[in-house]
Amino acid sequence: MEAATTHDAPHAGTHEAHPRGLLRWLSSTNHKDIGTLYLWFSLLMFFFAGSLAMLVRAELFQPGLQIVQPEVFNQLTTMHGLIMIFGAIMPAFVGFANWQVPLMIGAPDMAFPRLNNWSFWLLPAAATLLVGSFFAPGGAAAGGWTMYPPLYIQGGIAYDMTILAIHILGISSVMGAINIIVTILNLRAPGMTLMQMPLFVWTWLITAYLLVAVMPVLACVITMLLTDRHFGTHFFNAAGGGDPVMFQHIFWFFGHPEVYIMILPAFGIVSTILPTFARKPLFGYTSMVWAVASIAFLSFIVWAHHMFTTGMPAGGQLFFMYTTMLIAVPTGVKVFNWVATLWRGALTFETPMLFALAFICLFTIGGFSGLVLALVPVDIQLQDTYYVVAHFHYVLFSGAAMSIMGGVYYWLPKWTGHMYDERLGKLHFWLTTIAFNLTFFPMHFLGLAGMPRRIPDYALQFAQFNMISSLGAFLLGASQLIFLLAVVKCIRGGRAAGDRPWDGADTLEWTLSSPPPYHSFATPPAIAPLHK
Amino acid sequence: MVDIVSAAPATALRITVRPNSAVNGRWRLFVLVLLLPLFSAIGAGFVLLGAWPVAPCLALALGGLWLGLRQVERHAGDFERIVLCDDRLLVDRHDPRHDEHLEFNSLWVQVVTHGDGTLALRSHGCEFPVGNDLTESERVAVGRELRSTLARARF
Ligand SMILES: [Cu+2]
Repeated sequence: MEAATTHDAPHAGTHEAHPRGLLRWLSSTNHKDIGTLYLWFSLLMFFFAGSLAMLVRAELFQPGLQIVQPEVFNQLTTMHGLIMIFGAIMPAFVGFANWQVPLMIGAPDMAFPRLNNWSFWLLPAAATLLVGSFFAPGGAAAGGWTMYPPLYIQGGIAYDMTILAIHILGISSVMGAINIIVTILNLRAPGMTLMQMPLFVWTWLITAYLLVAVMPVLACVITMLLTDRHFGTHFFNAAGGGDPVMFQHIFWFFGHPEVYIMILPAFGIVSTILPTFARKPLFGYTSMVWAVASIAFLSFIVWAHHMFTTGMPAGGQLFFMYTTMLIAVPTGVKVFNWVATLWRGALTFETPMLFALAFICLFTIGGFSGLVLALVPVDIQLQDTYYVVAHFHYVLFSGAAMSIMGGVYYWLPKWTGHMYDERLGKLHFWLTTIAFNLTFFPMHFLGLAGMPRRIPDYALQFAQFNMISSLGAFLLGASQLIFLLAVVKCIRGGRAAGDRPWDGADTLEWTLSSPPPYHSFATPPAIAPLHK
Repeated sequence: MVDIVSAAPATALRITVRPNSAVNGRWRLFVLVLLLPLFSAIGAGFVLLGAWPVAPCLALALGGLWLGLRQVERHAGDFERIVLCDDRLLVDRHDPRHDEHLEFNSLWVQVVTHGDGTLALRSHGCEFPVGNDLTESERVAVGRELRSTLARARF
């Protein structure tokens, strides 16, 4: 053999070529493949958890019990929440991180590609446990997504399945977060300083820190639930001297930063889309970075605003009320910067831009209702009413989910090489926005009028608004099929996108071909012929 | 990142490939000054509340992050050097575990681009991947440069 090695035998032979078919997806360490897997997984979970919501709204269409028994109703709301948060929104953002972070910082891949593969493949296992728990004796966990004891100490096997699933999801998130932090800190292209990174990368860096700091807290608190259930400890069991309120403290210490884990990457996506379609650089980049960092910091000291009714000293209530209201300051900075980015821009209104604009309007409504809930005396009235449900759906649907949809339309041309169908995209956008407001805006009124959340039946005076809300929800659910159609259509073909379909886009990924070179080399690239 | 130097005779070439490496050991300070106090404060708070199991969980996560950062630092000095000189194509690889030296006959060696965008050198039925630390566009550039210089060297 001509090629002589002085040390050990070459560690790779001709089998280096990457596998095809199912094996490719199982074994892939390529950040784009894994990003795609995350996004499809999240879409699947979005539809599953969405159909649970359809059942919830069908039951609430009229007063009285029509479709499901009360205990099944509680299983539906619990699993809708858990699966949307841990199965749909978080994995979707991790999918974006996988696809975009290496491209945007000029890295060849994630820092730990194999770890990346494991992080993803833990998810289907967890999803199987969550979905499978519906078939457990007594049905799925029905104690709410917040997993409060004593219900979560008393429940049956489904509760163990849920706890185990959350464990797995937590491990996956921490591994993913470590991978993202190391990638961003270390694998930036030469010359790219931290303050030159696209804002999407910044938001993910900070999100990843939040994940590393709070996911272990969640993992631990549910482990304590598990030991209370099976190993005779009494952390949260009042009968044994434990304290159920301590669970709430620990849970919300995770829970509030979790909200930002689900919204900071959305800020990043919106901050990427707006400058593109305003054809202006993002206004106040540095202040945006600091705003994200301060929001992340503040998120650690506001948790007890979820617990104003648990009997807290007035000093504690005041502290958590003021810190919560303080978050409005950096959030306001962001909203003003977005508006200033639009100011006198050469605006066009393609689908991603529409989603980004809707994000600004609707997320701000969610932010304001959050301020209302931050006021202790008001919160004591509104705690556990539909006002809270309205608030967090404005944050999580029109904030997180709609920014995800906008991001998908924005980067689909890059990912697939084809333009999506603009007419379908716009139809999806308008139906989603109208149906969303139809569904959730009336919930503010229901909450103010005193309708409690997590109930399958309600007093007659709430009937009209609930009916409107349910009709909106069915339309909202149906319009997501248009989203699926638009995505599938774009993957299967369409007008060629070119490297940079958006003339205002200036981040690194647009300098690559569309799609970036993983698939496009299926036939060898046309490089000067070698051998005649 | 890649550094391509074409020397005076158009048939000589030196390509040095290094992994992107942006942290320079400053991360240690960052983790110790910023994150350790934060994590300790959170852990201590929960221990005082009576929820002691939170502390080891946090320690695990921080430990994982530390290991990850240390791992990339260990590989910061890795490089891969491809030198074309007369009728030899020399490949040197360095990483913390081992050094490797490959020699190819420049008349025989082929530059192969795989379906997944990876680059390899092929000679006598064996294949040796190169440029794994590069982005796709850099890999394309390296492949093109290698091919054209090899083609010139064959005249
Ligand atoms: Cu909160």
